[in-house]
Parts: sequence; C-alpha cells; structure tokens
Amino acid sequence: MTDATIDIRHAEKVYRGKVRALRGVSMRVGRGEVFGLLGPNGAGKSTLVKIMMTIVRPTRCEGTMLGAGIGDKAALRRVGYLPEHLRFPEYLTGEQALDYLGGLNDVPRDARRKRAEEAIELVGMSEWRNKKIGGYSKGMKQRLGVAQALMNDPDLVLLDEPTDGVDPVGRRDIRNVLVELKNRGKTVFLNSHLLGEVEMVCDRVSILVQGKVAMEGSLDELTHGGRRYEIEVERRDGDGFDPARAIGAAAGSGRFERGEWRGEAPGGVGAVFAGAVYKVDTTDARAVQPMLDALRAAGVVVRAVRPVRPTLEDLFVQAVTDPETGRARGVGAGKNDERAARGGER
Amino acid sequence: MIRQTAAILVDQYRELNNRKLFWISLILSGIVVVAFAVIGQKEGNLAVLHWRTAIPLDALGLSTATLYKMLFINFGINFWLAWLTTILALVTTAGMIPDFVSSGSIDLALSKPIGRVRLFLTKYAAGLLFVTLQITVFTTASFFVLGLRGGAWEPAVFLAIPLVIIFFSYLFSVCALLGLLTKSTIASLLLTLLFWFLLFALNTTEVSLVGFREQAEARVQRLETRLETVRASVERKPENMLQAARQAVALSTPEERIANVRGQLDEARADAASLAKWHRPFYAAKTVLPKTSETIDLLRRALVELAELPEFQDREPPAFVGRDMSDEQRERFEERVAEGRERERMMIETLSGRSISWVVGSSLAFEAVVIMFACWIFARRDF
Repeated sequence: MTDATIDIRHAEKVYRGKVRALRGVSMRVGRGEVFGLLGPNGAGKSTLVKIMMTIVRPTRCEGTMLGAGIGDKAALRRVGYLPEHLRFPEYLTGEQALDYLGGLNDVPRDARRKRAEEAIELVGMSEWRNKKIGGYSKGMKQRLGVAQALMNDPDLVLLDEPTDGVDPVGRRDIRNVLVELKNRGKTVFLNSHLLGEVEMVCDRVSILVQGKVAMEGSLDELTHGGRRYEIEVERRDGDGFDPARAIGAAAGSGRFERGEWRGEAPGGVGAVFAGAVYKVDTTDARAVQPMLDALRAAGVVVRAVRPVRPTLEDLFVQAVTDPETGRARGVGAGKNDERAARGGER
Repeated sequence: MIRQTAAILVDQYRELNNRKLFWISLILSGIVVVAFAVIGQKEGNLAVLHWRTAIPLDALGLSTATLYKMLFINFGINFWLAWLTTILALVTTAGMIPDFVSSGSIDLALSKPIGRVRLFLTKYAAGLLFVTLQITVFTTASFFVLGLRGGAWEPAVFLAIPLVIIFFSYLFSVCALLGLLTKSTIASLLLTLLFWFLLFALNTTEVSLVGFREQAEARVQRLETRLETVRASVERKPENMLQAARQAVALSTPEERIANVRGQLDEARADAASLAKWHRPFYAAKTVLPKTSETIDLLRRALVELAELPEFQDREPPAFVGRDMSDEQRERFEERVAEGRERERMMIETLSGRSISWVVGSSLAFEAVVIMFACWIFARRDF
C-alpha cells in the first residue's frame, strides 16, 4: 500500500446508554486511493467518519489522518467533507454558501471565488449558482454539497452517502467527479450503502458489521476466492433436454441436494448445477474444457461460457451473514439497534 | 482566524437581511425617531413640528434639552429599544443556536478547522448583530434629533449602543444556552422571556423595597431629631408667661410627649429593620443575576443630572389639584405627595449611587458563567 492518508487504530465509541457503535476498528487508506466504507444500517460507518471529522468524540482512537493525530483541527484544513443529510442555510445562494463554507475553511477570498467557480462547474450547477438554496431539489443540494467539499482544494475528501436522493444522471456525474478527484491525486473516502456505486469507483473497500471490520481489501483481493467459470446450457421445454443426462455427462461423481447438483466435474474440478447453469470452481480456462467436451458429446447445447467473480453484493451478504445461523446479523452495534437508541444512523 | 470570524458575521448579516422582522424593526425604529423629531416645546407648551399645542409643559419644569433627553431615554431607549426591539430581537435570534446545532448543519461547521469554543463564541457574538445594527442606526438618528431639535449635542448618547448591546447580551446568553440544551426555538424563546419577566419582577420588588426602606430610615432620623427637640423643650424653662401658660394648659405632660415620640421612634426603627431584612435577600439575588433595568438606567445617569429630574424639583402642584378639598384634606394630600416624592428621590439617589462595576460587572459575570457553561456543553457534545 502507498503512504497512508488515514491510519486509524482501535477506534471505539460507546454512546450514552452504553450503545457500542464501534468496537476497535482499525483501517488504513492509502494516498490517492478511492476507499469505500460499507456496512448495514447502524454498523458504525457514520460514527467512524464523524470521529475523523471531530463531530463525535471517540471513546478511544489512535492513529493519524494526513499525518496529524485523529481529532486535530488543523488537519481539517486539508479535508473536504460532505455530511449525510446535509442542510444548507436556505437564505443563501449556491455561490454564497460556497463562499461562507470556504471562509470557515480559512480559504482566502480570491481563492474562494476561483474555487467556487470551478467546483460549481464540476458538479454541473453553473445555472443555479445565483439562486437561493431554498429553491433547490434534493439532488441539487447534494451536488452543491460535493462542491463545497472541494472548496479548500483538499487532499482528502470524505463523502457520506454522496448520491443520497440524486437521480441516475446525477449519480453518474458524482461518480465522474470522484474519478476526476482520483485522477488529480486526491484520496477519497466514500461511505455509501449503494454497492454498485462503490464497486464502480473504489479501489479498496472495508465492510463494517456491528462496529467491527468484517472484511477489508481491494476488490480483486476480496473476490479472488469466489472466482469461477459458469457454463450456461440450453434448456427449452419440449426440446428433449434431460437434466439427468446433462448431469450424467458432466459429472464424475456427485449428489442432489435442495434442487442443486454438487459434485466433481470431468477434469477433477468441483461444480454445482442449478437451473441451466454449471458453476465450475476454477479460474483456469483449460480446466473447463473436459467438461465442455463431455457436454457436447452428450448432445447438450452450450449457450455461454464465462468467467465470473463475486459481486460486492455477494461479499456484503457474506460479511453480514452469521455463518452459524445463515441469517443476517442483527442491525446495529451494541444494543442491536443503534438507530433506535440514537435517533438515526451514526 | 479573521477570515473564519468574518465568514460567520457575514453569514449572520445575510440571515438577518433575509428576515422580515429585522427590516420591520428597523422601519419602526425610523418611525420612532421621526415621531421623536416631530415633538417639541414651544413657549412652555408641547409643540408638534412648528405648531404649539395647548398642553402645558411648564409644570414639568424641563428645559427643551432635558425634555429631549428624557424622551430619548424614557421612550426611545427604555420603551422602544429595551422592550419592543428586544422582544423582536429575541424572536429573530432565538432560533439561531437550535438551527445551528441541528443535524446536517452542525456537521459542516464542526468539520471545519475552527475550535468548538471559538466557533460557539463567534456564533454567539454574531447573534448580537441584530441589536447592534438596530441600536446604532437608532442612536445615530437620535443624536441628530437631539442636536437639531433639542439643541443638545450630546456625544454621551452613543453610550446607548454598548449599554443596549450589553443589556441584550444578558438575555441572549440565557437564550443561547437554552437553545443548546433544548434544541427548540419556541422553548428557548419562551423560557428566556420568562427569565426576563422574573428579572423584571425581582428588580421592581427590590427597588420598591429600597424606596420604603429609605423612607423608613428617613422617618427614624426625623423622629430622632424630634425626640431631641422635645427633650430640649422639656428641659428648657419657660421664658415668659405665655410659654408657661401654654405648658400649663397642654393636654399631655412632657413625659407623655417624650414617651409618645419614643414609641413612634421604636415603631419606625422596627419598620426600618424589617424592611432592611426583607430587602437583603432580594439585593443578594439581584447581585448574582443580570440587572437589566439598572444597566439601561446607566444611560440616564450619564445624560441627565439628578437636579434636572422632575422628582428633584420642588414645585407647587397645579392649581386644579385639590380644588375641591378641605384645608385638612389638602394638607394631608400634600403631605402624601411630598412623602411619595421624597421616597422617589431617595430611591433614585440610592440606585444612582450603585457602582457601575456592581450593575454591569456582576451582570457580565453572570453572563460569562452562562456562556462558559454553554461552551462546555457544546465542546463535549456528540452531534
């Protein structure tokens, strides 16, 4: 990993009422990375971000952000932040809001003017810059929120649910902004529950469950174990398709269980057959060939052969599923419902 | 640091600029100043612009300059700025802290490179901007009215600016603390108004007790003098036949007269002691709480000499007063009026004698404690 922009160790937070939102979270985010923080509601994602932004005081937290200790106010000069459920003063115009928030960031007046122009342009709000925020839609406010996070030309940008309430076009625009930030060498910390979005832009992800890191790594690393090949065969009614024959052709040995066939395919690789798809447990294309030969020999029509890897959703579900019960772990951190205890997600 | 402070102040100005109440209040202030300029004194009577009315002002015994100063203090400051504008200011600014600490809004402010205590104090100071702008405009306009219409070019008028800001800040500190604790505009506004009413009631009670206590002490002094006089007259031998005859036919003996005065003196002393005892806790409570009325009264102390006040001028009551009374009734009435005036004078003298450090210093100490408590809460809270 490159130099760490964020290096958090043993972050713990116990709210009043003994709600344990974080239980010793450690995390490193490299410089220039786009890092995604995932987790179910009440997992402690927003608490972690708020600790970094000094909005919530940690019970315990070691480590650094941009080289300064966590909680160091001076370091925030180099951080751009978009909070969840952002509320702008509605009496301001978009441009005035950027000027005000840039001022709070101690940005000189001339630089504020220049950056406001650039940021507004970047988020596609040029036409609305002189209109009062009271007349903005939720998506427009969110775009403006992203713009204000860039007012201090930050080295690190933390975005908490940036596409919340934004339409698909707006989401794409915000994604493009993230890519642009990455291209400029900025570090982006993205807190989102939209898995597809995170998957599209993030280099590395961390999945938080009940106040602990359940998984962390690059998408390649995390999905490596679940990669496989899928062989889709033609299965049409009245076409003379015989699953037993197809399985018989493909199978070395195996058994049926809950409507699925599991066994060893020709070539000695594990396979699962369900519906009309064989999932072959290998990343080697050559290992699939004996099975394809066997299927063709048995007269089974092969429609598609493709390498697949698990989606972020698969990983997410895996992370939040209790291996013992096979059910999703309870929402929240300590008392099983942090939201109820704190009146919202932290 | 200056940029951040400036950003908060500019934002506060923009917020005020957006509020109708701010402009309504400013327009009303303008109307009050115009009304102030319209009223005048001409040939001893009240005048409106150039026209002399039939209402006599001679009876008040005020010069034109003093009349204007009294109008400025009693109507412009005491009534308009210290009551109505203050209520409008509280209504306007009560929501400032609850809005500021609301979810989604506070996150942005706290994520900036500015310490929590400084952020809160700057926001608090920005909340005083409403009153600062109002009082500055009003006082400047009044200064010219006083000079042009009353002939009194009094730079001391500008003392109204810091005094009214300080006065408002007592209430605003409580409002800010309540806003932080309750996160509710309505709750913080109503509780602040209740607090203000309690201060008003406390002040009224304490000031009344001062008046009665001073009056009782003056009575004690009078009776002590009278006792001395009676004793002296008893010890003195009659100088002539007439005095001897008077003593002989007097209804009471000298001992009885002395006992009578002594009885009255004991009663007066008991009254004075009782009033002093009652006054003490009210004074103590007032010492630790903000002194809103007395802070505003400092302006009167700076602008008007005691001798210029109507209460300090011995004037005959107007001819129409007591016209239908008998001599005895009229005498009793005049005695009561004199007593009331004496009480007023003593009260004003006592209040005027209170040090500025007691009036403003202890009030600001209260405000400092409230603000420190609010800062402590703000600095420790998770948002």
